[in-house]
Amino acid sequence: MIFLLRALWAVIRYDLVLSFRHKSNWANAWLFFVLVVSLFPLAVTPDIVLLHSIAPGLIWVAALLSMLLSLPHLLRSDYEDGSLAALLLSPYPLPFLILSKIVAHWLVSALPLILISPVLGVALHLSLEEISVLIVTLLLGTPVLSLVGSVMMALTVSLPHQSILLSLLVLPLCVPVLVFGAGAVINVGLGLSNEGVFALMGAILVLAVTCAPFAASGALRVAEF
Amino acid sequence: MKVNFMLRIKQLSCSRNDRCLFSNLDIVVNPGEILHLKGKNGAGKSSLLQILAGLLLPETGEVFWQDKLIAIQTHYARELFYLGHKSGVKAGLTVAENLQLSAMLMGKNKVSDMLQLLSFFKLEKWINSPSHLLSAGQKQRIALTRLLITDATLWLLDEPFNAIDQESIQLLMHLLQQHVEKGGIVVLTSHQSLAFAGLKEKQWLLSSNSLGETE
Repeated sequence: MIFLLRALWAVIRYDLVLSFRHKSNWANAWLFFVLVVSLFPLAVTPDIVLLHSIAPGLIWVAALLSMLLSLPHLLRSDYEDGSLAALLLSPYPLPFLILSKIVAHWLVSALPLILISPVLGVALHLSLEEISVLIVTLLLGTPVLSLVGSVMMALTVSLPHQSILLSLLVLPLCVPVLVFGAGAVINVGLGLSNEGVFALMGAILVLAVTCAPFAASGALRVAEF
Repeated sequence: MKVNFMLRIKQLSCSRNDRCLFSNLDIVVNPGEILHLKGKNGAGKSSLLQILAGLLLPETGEVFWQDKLIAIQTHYARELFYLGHKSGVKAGLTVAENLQLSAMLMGKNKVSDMLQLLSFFKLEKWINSPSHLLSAGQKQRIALTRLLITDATLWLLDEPFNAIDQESIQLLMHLLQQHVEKGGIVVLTSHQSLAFAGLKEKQWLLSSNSLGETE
């Protein structure tokens, strides 16, 4: 047990070390997020009412697309250098190893977006309460995107041109998260309660955490090496 | 429990991209033996090794380890060491980090004496160098150093002599010899002929039409 935890920690730690050394891979996706959100008022209109009403959806769509940009970094390089085979042949259960990789990926691809989103929220005239709801929904929703993405990544990892297929596979499955996430922030403005939305998003997250690592391992087991 | 055959390949067939690589392959490998797979490029040597590792499903046929199907044995992963043509060395990690990660994933403790481990393949000078700065041969030596960490019985090595210098070839030969003398099994592919003094080297020539043992 203690050996398993140590191995999982090693996977997370070395993945983070690698991400830190290849910052440019990730900075592109972070920059994309910030740029999309901040260019919108310039391109559309600086009108406060309009911006306030589209802000939740805008931030959520930008976060989703930004995570889609960084998704190929999840397993692609491991496949190419052969370390994915080492993961498959490890005596430890593959779903746990995959889950560690997903955690490391989420920490690098989603957490920075969540940390910067309050600033973007203020820029788009969201109230303090709306910003806090936005952060809660991002915290509940972005791991689902990473988890769903990992399954699709595992399915397409051995294909030569996977990125188009990847977006087609991931985006439809992420729509519920997007709808609930952006909807919760709008609910605040309408004075509606968000308990139900949080519970639903939490349930989706639990479902994804329990199923996705197993689905991803199953997909990797039949992938061509 | 008496085990009849350590590693048994039974009626194995494999095809890739609708092309039959080999069919009805029957091989038995016993402890202390080296199985040297030979054949032209694309004859299916690497595919056979992947099937033995459980990374690739065969078209038909089965692989048995200690008389049991490999697919149903969870401990098979602990008995097995696989080195593919992609070495699994992460370019962004240093030599030491690569080996620490490998050791942990193999279910071992952290390597405590890294310098001593690296000195076998004369890599100690590069202990903290990022792997992407090293040559192909040095990367291959990093991958081969894992052989010193693992306590697997079955070694599956795809072109292990690729890119490494004469001195390292000798060291690796010595390592393989030690392993089979302890009752281990090595299955390897190589275009080089191996001068294994006093070792039971079994050679198999893989080709789509004919196939046979060449002693």
